[in-house]
Amino acid sequence: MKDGHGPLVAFTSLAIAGAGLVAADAAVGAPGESTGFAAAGAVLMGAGIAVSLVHLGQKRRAGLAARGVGRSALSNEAAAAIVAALAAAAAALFGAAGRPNAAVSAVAGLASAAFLLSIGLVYRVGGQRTWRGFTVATPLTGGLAFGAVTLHASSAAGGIPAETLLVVAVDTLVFSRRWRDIVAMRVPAAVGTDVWWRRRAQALGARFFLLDALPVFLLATGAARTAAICAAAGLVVDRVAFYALAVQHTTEFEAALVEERLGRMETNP
Amino acid sequence: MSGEHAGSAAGRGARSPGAGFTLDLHRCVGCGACVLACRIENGRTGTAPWRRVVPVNLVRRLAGPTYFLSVACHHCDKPACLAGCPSRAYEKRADGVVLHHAERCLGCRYCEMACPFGAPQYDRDRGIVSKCTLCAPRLDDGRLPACVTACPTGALQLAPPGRDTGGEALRDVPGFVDPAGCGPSLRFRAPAGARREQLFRALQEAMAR
Amino acid sequence: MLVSLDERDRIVAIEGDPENPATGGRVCLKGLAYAQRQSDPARLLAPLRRRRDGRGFEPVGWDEALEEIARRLVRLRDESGPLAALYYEGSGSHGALGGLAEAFWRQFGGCTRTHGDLCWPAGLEATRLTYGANLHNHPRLTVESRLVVVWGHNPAETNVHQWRLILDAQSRGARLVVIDPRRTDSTDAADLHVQPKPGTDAALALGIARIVVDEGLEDAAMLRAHAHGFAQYRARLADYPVQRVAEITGVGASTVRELALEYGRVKPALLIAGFGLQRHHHAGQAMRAVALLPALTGNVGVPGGGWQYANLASHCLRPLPLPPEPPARRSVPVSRLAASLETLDAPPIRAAWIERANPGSQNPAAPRLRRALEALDLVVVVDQFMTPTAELAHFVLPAKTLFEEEDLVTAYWHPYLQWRARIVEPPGTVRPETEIWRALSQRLGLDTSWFPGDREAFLRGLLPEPSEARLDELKKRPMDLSGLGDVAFADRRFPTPSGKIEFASDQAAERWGVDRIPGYVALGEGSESPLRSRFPLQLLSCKTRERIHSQFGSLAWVRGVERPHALDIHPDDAGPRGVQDGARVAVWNERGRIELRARLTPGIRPGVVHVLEGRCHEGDPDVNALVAEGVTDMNHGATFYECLVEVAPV
Repeated sequence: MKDGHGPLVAFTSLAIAGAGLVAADAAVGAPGESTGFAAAGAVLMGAGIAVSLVHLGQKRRAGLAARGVGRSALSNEAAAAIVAALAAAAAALFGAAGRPNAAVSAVAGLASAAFLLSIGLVYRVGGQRTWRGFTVATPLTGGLAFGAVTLHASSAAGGIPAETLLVVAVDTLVFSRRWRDIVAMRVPAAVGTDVWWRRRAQALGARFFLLDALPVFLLATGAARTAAICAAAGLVVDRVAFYALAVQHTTEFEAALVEERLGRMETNP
Repeated sequence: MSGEHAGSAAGRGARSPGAGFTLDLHRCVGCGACVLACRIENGRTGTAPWRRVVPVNLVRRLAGPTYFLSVACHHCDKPACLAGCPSRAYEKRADGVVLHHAERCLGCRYCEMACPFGAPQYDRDRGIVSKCTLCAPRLDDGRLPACVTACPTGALQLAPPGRDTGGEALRDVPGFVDPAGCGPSLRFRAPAGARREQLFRALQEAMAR
Repeated sequence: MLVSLDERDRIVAIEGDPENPATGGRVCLKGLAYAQRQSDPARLLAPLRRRRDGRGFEPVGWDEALEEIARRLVRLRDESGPLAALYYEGSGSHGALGGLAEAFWRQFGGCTRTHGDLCWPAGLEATRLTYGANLHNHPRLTVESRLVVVWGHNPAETNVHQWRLILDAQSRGARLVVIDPRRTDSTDAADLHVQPKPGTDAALALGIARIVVDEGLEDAAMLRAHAHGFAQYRARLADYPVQRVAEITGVGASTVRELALEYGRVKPALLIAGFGLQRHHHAGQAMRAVALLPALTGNVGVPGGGWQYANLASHCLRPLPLPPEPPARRSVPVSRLAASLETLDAPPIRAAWIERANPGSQNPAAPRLRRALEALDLVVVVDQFMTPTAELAHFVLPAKTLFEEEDLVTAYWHPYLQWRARIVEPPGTVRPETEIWRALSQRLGLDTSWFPGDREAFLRGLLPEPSEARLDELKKRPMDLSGLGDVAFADRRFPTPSGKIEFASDQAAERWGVDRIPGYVALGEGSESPLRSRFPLQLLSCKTRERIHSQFGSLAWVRGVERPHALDIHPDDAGPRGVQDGARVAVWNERGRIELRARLTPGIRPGVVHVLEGRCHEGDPDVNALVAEGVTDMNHGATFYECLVEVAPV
């Protein structure tokens, strides 16, 4: 794992799981069953926000992040996280008070989806080679896939609703593009010797297997609870691999590519 | 060097209006005096220096030239650090200098991720990042940056704001590209000398393919 | 150098002095590194004494240390005579005051000393024999050259100020030719890179001369008026037809021809020779052959032309006032220190005092030398840092740095004499060497008045015109006090025996027993040596930008910018030996064996391998374990670059 990424893995795993639950519930959940998911989502997102503070070098200055709202993707993400968590908490409170409010639940779902998108946007930076293209959408699709699968964990109903299949299929499609990009990517030898990089096909494959393929199979066989656990594990693998496969596109990276090209020019003049 | 071969597509186009460094790839011997001068000037005695030297083809493959990229912050036109900073700790001055204000830094290290040039350095002890200031205090004093003053061969120069009127300086050279559209202000002079010039051109063509 | 201090008198910044005309106000990496070196935690600040159990050192007070050293020196002198003590000095942190150790040793009754030099003496003598003096044009005239030939030299790494001027000449249209078996930062900038086999430079020079003469490109008028022995030299050229030269040097005949025609035609042409081509047994003759080329082509006494090897114009100080020399004298060649310590008799060496030097790493046969030093009764090392030599000492005395004592410093490239100010007081209990000698003299009851009380007055007395005004001027800026002007030999007066440029030198024959006319002689350990059947590769151990030999290598800043350390080997040599890039290899010959990583580089000439010298820190290879204690044909130099080895994976 790269220096200092531990808290980010924890933060994004928790927050994506929480937001994914709330958003999936709003999108494909059964009406009237939202309270538990909203509460769980709020708790997960809250925990994620708390953990995200851990990685700041100046924790007491966290409030300064408000200065960048509207300009900085990171500030937007933080704001979206807070709004989504609060909305989910409100939805949960309405539910707990016995007066579920469909509008509040819908707002919580939308805010959570926006938050998931904002996470993707944070990591759309030119400095990282493997964080480009379809990667932007993976927190959203991955979160929704986890959420959709988990919605079934508490319901005893067997079979897979078409909406869930659709959500997982979209995630699979989006993720397959990221997989294809990364597996095919040329990196300098120094990067390529990194154990995560050498095993990137397996790491990304495990993510697909745990978050998309296996849960669908488990849901189909009625092991809904196991499917949810599996999807959660898939989400963590997604986050770990995301940071572990970060390839900083600096001058050293480019210079190493030049050297490799020179090596090829020398052997085939 | 002559202006002709600098006129590849990469060599023309929009230029940064701000101040920035120009590095003569023929004159730079990669000695590291700029790195030490930077350390001394900015008190980076025990931490990572803001400037570094990236060698290209140090094993001296015959197919290509050997040259050195002395790099620090490029005081970009559209700095990724500034765009991403949640606490607006970065400022781009009118003269193009990109400054980081330590007192506003959260230590979130987002700029470190976002910058394609590895300019912001995280300092664990202080819990904040820092980066090259183009020696702004010296500039304001009418002096050149410490690295430029120290460069023993005159390879590293400061080009003032409003430069780049000629067609001579290169924006991209093999080993230095702008992968994120930040518009770095660093410019290059291509190698001179019959052999290195030829090898360099061949490498430029190979990398463009 | 301009040095800034903080409120506690610590050095915080170093910048170039714009008043220094040689550097143009720029400082090299090493100069800047002083900002760290000066206060590095590893710097020695108090005397150390070897512990009685032999393991490591313990701090000791100056009084106690000097008392014991004095007692042991006197006992040794009483028992074995003064020549049982060896005084060895190097050129680290050099200045005029360094010579004052002699005031102690002469009063002590003498000592065994070394003569010659590890670095450059064969080339100095070759130049002196040829032109009568080691002078060359002012460096700034380099830019007026139309053709710069750099021979056996890598100024991009080892004289970056000279390199700037060469590049300036190049950007003004001069062509640059670099002759070096390796591909270096200097050869990379060249318009033409010639890669001869190491040790064949004499043949290349004579081959060039032959073509120049055959083509009628020599400066006949100049030669008629100012050459001595040209006819004999010209006759000798018959032995160097281009085909033979190509065979000997491994440089293609067409390249030799191209180089010769260019050098013969383009005016003015500057020939800059490095110390690198005079580190073998026939170095003096080779350097004479190369040094004659500017004379042949009329490039002597011309701005933008000339022969540039060493410039001793700044060596104009008056001799140090010293006590009379005692009758007991003995001296050994510096490059044969290990053998001398092993074999000297009547008396054998029992003690060594080593100052400004690290022979335990830097001299030929370094491991043998270390063993020999270890066997002595008393070893005193004065240094700023622990070194492989200091590790062997009984006493290690802390040395001042260049910022901590006034001195006068001479140069060997530019003509400037420099005043070195005392900027800070020595830290800890450090005292300047002159004070160490004074204190030791006092303990032995010797006359201490030889050591300056008022250093400034003392140094002023060494100036060619010792006046207050002159010293004040010198304090402001480096000065050329030689009165020789910018163009060496502009008056065409050559202080040789014949008063002319000596193509034939009787003095060379008389003093050194070599041929009057320079010629190529194959090296005992060279490209034509029978020993190549066992040790087929020629090892070079060259210098690098970030160190002065073994100095500076311990500094974190320097480590941060230095290049990886490896054995450079051509893929054609590596392949058959099964040597992979980055793999650990052994390099050995009959004298020793080292291990390090291999770096496959197509830039080096096949048949040649290279290791940077001067690396004696933390697992660095001890390259001088491989090097023989040879002595050059002239002037007692060392033969570092005449060294055959074999390489194999470990």
